[in-house]
Amino acid sequence: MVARLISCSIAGIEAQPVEVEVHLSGGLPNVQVVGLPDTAVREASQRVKAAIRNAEFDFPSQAVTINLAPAHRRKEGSHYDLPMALGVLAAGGALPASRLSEMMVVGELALDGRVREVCGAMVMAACARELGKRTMLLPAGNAAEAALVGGVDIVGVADLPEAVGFVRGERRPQPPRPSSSEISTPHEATCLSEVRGQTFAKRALEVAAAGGHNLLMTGPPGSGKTLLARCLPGIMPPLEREEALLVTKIYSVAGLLEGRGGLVEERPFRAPHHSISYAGMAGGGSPRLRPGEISLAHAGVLFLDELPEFRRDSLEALRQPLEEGRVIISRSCGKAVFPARFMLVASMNPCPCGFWGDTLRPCTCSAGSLRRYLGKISGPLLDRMDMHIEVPRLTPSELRGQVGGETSPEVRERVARARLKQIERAGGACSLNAALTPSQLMRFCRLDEDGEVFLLQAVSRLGLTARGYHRCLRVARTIADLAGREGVTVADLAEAVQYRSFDRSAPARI
Amino acid sequence: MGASEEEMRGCRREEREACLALALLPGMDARTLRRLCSLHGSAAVAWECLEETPRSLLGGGRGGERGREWARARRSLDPAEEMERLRGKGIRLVLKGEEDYPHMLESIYDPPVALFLRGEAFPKGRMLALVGSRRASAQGRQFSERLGREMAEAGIGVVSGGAYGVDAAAHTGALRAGGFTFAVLGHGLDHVYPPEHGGLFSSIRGNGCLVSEYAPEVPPAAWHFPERNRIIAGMCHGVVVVEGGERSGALITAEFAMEEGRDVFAVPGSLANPLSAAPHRLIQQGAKLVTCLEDVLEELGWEVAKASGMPVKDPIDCEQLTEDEKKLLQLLGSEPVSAECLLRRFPGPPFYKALSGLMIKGFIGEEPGGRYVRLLNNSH
Repeated sequence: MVARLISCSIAGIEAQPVEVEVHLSGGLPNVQVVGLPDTAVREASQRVKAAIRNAEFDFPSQAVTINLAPAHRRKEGSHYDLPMALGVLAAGGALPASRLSEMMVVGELALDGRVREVCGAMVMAACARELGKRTMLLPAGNAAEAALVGGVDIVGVADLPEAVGFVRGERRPQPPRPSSSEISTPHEATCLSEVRGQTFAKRALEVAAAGGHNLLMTGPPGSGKTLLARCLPGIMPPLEREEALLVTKIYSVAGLLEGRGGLVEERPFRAPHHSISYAGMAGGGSPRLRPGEISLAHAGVLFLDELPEFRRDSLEALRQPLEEGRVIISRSCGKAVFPARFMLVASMNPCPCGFWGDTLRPCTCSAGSLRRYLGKISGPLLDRMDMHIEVPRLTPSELRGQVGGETSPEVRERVARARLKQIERAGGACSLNAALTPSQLMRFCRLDEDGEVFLLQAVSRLGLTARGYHRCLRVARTIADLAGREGVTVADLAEAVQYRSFDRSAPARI
Repeated sequence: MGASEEEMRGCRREEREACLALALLPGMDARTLRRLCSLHGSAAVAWECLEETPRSLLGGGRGGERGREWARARRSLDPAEEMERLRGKGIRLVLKGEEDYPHMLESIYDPPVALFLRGEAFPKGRMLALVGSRRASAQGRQFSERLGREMAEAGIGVVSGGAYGVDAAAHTGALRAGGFTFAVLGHGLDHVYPPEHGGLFSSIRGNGCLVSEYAPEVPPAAWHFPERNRIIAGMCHGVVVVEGGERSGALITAEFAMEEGRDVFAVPGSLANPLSAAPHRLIQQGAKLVTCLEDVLEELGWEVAKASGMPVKDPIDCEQLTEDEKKLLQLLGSEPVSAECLLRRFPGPPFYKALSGLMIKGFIGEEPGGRYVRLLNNSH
């Protein structure tokens, strides 16, 4: 007798159906799992056997063959435990097979029969909806995120007996609590007012947040670069519904939703350590491709502290996503497309010893070591930075009597208004000034004669590059949006020029 | 008479080719080349008798091996062909005693046997060296550029290295005024070091000359630069030191200059600036303190070609400044000030406009670390 039920496997941020078939036959009792299972799936037989026995059901003393179809696709993960267990019970006649065919089942089993949470429940629920399944049976802990999808009856179960009871139609477990914002824990973003001084850098953060501009901060250790970067999530408006669903999907697939349950509403802030590998940054892994930091930072901030310390290949991984807003990963085990439209914020020391340009300590670096240090980040990556600013270490006398200034919520309001303006003007999802196409840029940032003259002077006198010219236009557009101006004025351009420190001081650096 | 002139020319060509061939030998450095030529009396003889080179010139323990290497290279090198190749690259080789060889240089203790030159104008006439830190401050760069420009306007050739900072500023100033400028390099002329100076070097080639005592293929090396400094000092009537740290290469150049009896000039700076160390030390040792080109010309006894180029006009009165710019300029002194300090006294968006405006107009410069400083006068 063969029992069939539907589960699924995850590829990228999509799920694909997998049919779990269980066949009992005569012969010595043993369990065989076929259909390209990886180790976690093969080990499932042990968990299934123990869980069924401990939940006081009968495990058939026959030869059990479990097939995961389509058999050519690799299967990975622990979420096939529950469908296998139900399949075994159905094959033994303990469950009505007809009820099983209406639902999608996922879940990991503990040896005592409890059901454990799995990764990617949200995309699995989306898959169930596409397949037209009416019900989805999954771990109780995943119910909240799966419920975000809608259109599928989500049944969260705490243990195997509960699942069996539901399939038999005896009782229905407690419905999942509706997801709400009080479930998701907000970030512990630093408030801008906690940073003393650094008015210039704070203003730059506001502009960067408003236009989604990539930002590079240069400054000696202890100047507050990291603290400033941590303020960013607090001054960015919350995610739009569409964005939030996508971000939640990514986090669901990455298995990072634990304890949060519902929708991710705050903008992600990812700050990977500089030892991160290429796959960690871009995404990858085997046999299932998982999202990397750039995708986890989608719609939020990717903060790279000590940029030149990052491995070169990890930084190269940023290039394509910075242009396209997504990353395509192709491996022998498959291909996945992850969204990756993030705002890149990086910090670095001005030189290897860190104290060049500092007023309190002299720099001890040689010209050669300085060039090597800067060489690590020059080129394509620097080209994609809209803004670079210097963050000086303030002397005690400069800090004296300084107050924090505006709080994050005040700034956030201005940023939200400026973003609204941009969306109204450009329309579409990637309408922030940082992502404008060249033709849009030409349309939205038309300069008057004074502006043209000013920028040309900046090119000839301040060493602004041709690329810097266009970056300046974008940033100036954002500054005008923050001020609520329709046209870009000389004042906006003048401020934007101040956010191109690498262009201006390149000859003086080495 | 005609025949002997012909003979002389042939001789000279042979000597040049031999010199080039010697310079191209593996492991040959400028010092060995000098000793080899003085030992044999001429490069041509040295090339002919290469196999008889004494071991002491072949260098330490590798003497035997080096000798064999040279013997092999001598058989495979064709001096005339190499000279043709050099000419193809637009590089000239001038020997000591020839017309294009800087005549001041001949009198120093160990003049280079030959110089590789690439450019339009060749070192002749009055020349002054302008040296200083690679990491000069905005004020130092501005002063160097102005001095370079004024020297060019006064018909004086500018001599410097090819590095960032003072060197680059001096060349830029001279080129802007259409004057002659000479970059003496610590590497062969096939290389561009620092790599970012490709553009600068090609403009120097168009209106001056790149000078090196190293064969074209020789890459930059740390010990070349101090050695090169003796050429900078040797080519010139005097050396002006703008900014330099306590162990600056500018001090080495000044020391060579003093040993060779050239005048040394030093431009004083702020006590707070660590790069004032070198000029201040030189002033203590008796270098002439200079604040403008006239001071230099006076000391050398050269006539002042034109009236002082420095307007002693307070930029605050300048008509081209807006009210905001004037207000901001008054907040700035000669000490670098952070944007933080300025923003506290001049808050709001007009600050950025005034700041960028003043930078474009050349009234303020930027120091590393996001600090701003008032420049001496408007250089544009």
